[in-house]
Amino acid sequence: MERHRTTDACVIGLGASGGILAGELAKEGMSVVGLEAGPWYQREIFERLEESHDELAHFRLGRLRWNEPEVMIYNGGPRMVFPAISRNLGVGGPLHWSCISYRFHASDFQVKSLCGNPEGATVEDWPLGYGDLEPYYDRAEYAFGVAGEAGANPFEAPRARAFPKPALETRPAGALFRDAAARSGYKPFPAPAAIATTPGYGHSAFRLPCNDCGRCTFYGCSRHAKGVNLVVTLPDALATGRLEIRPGCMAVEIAVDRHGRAKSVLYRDAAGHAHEQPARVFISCNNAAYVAWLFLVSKSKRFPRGLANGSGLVGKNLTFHASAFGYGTFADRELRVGLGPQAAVAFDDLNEDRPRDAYGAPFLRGALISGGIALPFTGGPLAFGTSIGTFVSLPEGVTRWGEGFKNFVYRYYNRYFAVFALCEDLPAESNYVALDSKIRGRWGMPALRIVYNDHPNTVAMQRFMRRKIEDVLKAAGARHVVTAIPGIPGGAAAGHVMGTTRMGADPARSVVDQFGRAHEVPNLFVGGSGVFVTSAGLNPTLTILALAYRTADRIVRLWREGAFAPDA
Amino acid sequence: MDALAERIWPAGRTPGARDAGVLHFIDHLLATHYAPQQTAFRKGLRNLIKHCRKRYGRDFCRLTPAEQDSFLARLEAGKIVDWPEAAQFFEMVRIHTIEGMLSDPKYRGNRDGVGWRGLL
Repeated sequence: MERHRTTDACVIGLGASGGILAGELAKEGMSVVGLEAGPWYQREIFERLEESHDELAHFRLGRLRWNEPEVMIYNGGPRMVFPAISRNLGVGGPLHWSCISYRFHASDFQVKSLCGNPEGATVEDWPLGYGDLEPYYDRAEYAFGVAGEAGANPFEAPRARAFPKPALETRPAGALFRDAAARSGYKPFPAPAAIATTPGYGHSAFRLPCNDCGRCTFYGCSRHAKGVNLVVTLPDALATGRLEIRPGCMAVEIAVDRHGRAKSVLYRDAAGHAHEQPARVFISCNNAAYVAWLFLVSKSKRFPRGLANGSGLVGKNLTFHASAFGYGTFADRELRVGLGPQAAVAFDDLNEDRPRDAYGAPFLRGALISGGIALPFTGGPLAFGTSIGTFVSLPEGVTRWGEGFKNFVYRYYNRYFAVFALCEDLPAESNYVALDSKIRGRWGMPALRIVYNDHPNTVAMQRFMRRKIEDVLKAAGARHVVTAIPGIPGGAAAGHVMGTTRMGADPARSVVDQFGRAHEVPNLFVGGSGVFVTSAGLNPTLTILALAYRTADRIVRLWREGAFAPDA
Repeated sequence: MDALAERIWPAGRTPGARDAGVLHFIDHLLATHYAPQQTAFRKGLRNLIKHCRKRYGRDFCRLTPAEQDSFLARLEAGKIVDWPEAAQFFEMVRIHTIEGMLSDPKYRGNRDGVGWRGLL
């Protein structure tokens, strides 16, 4: 066991939240050790096109994804063993994200007050509101360079100022979807995304505007147009000399002292050697599912049910986002949807409580509908060819192999687009992550077990959204229209994992406070979407980034007040 | 395997699996990234040979394309008696054939980019 010198802060996981926390704390004068289970790709590696456009490496083999086995039991079905959640890997993430960046609506923080809590769910209000987070949404948008058009979405929450970058240009597929959506009575807008649309950006002068290569989701960006901590936060943070990054290092336990304060992180390096890193304050940012996993494996006399788990809620209230989607073919139009970002056009008309209030839908809350996008939410013919006929059907009469299949792929790869509904998912204590009792993963640690059942509200919403997607594709004039509800939760495949260490004011009903500070462990914080109380019907990452900046501010303030001093 | 892949992605107006070297792709990937699938692959191939001879009295490569397609359709549907993993094996080969047609040539398939030609 190699024991390292005590550092002020130890950040576990250097993705969306961890990258910000490690960087901001170092910039504010703290000494920081950042541990990342994945590799530390230098940004230059993504500039090599044979690297950054390689579909087999990224889409099929999961180069930027955690590929260890996980056990998923979905809707009471058989145990499925595979990498079930699309977990980001690599220093300075979230490397493989699509960059779609939404602020939540004000109502997304108050679902309990507005809608109550349906039977079988555990809906609560968040312990903070949109107003508390607005300045941090602003900060995250400006740091990462989000491209968008303020006011284009009539349902967006109020903003103090415009987006820092002009919206992404709408490409042919997006325009076709937009026009069909508008004719259908919706109000489509360019989807906001942390993708550079103009050259140079603050200190990251090397970030070039997007060139529409279509390799966003699952890929590193050859232009550094994608906003990731590798190019946004870490260059300045490393220049302070106060941040030490250790890649290939997986945390296996957070140890506590006899007072119940976190004292060190035990981890394994890439060669399997054991290390101990003591620190004054700890921030666990290693993906919502794995923060819970880490707390559950960190059992002690003081915390027999797992670290900070007095409430029993660590791992529980797992939410994923559900989805419905579809695609349409257009024999006479060169849409080339495989080129260009996967942020195209969206409409918010079927989100919040508008389905129930305006459309008489039999369920609570709603979904964001995005369209003019490639299937399966990333560009490339290999991704298209291995998805169509696999988790979504081919049109009737088209076989899954042979001359007919080949001709369909060749003919329609450049002449189709897809539409996706991202559905708000209700939390339930009976949905959870835990430690599997049978399968072992890296370093002999128990694999993650995921138990998840769709709430009836979710099922009703998916059916409704699927019909709406079909209608829009028909309105666009598609020749073939195929829709689907996926066989595993859409958000799991998208890497949207939420709720597993939920925030709240009551320590009996939550794991952390509104700043992500563990109720029972004053020098332990959580970054990432595990703290979300409810999921919203919107992509989670901008909210993760905003909360991370807010948590960083809080940690720095507490540190300066002496809250983490040895004798505190 | 070469013949199987050719039925999945046949030559026609555009090159097929044989032209693209899908066999070399599958070989290379099984030796590297897909090594955990080697056992299932070998078992599947043995079963294919056995059940094909049983049904037709000839090897798969000696069937007509129509007979090959008919046999593969039975695999896909899981309709081969005494071979419960037939559909799984077929799906594995189907996916790897598509990968072998459309992945970067550095993986030893899609020779010189011929798999991408039909996308233009």
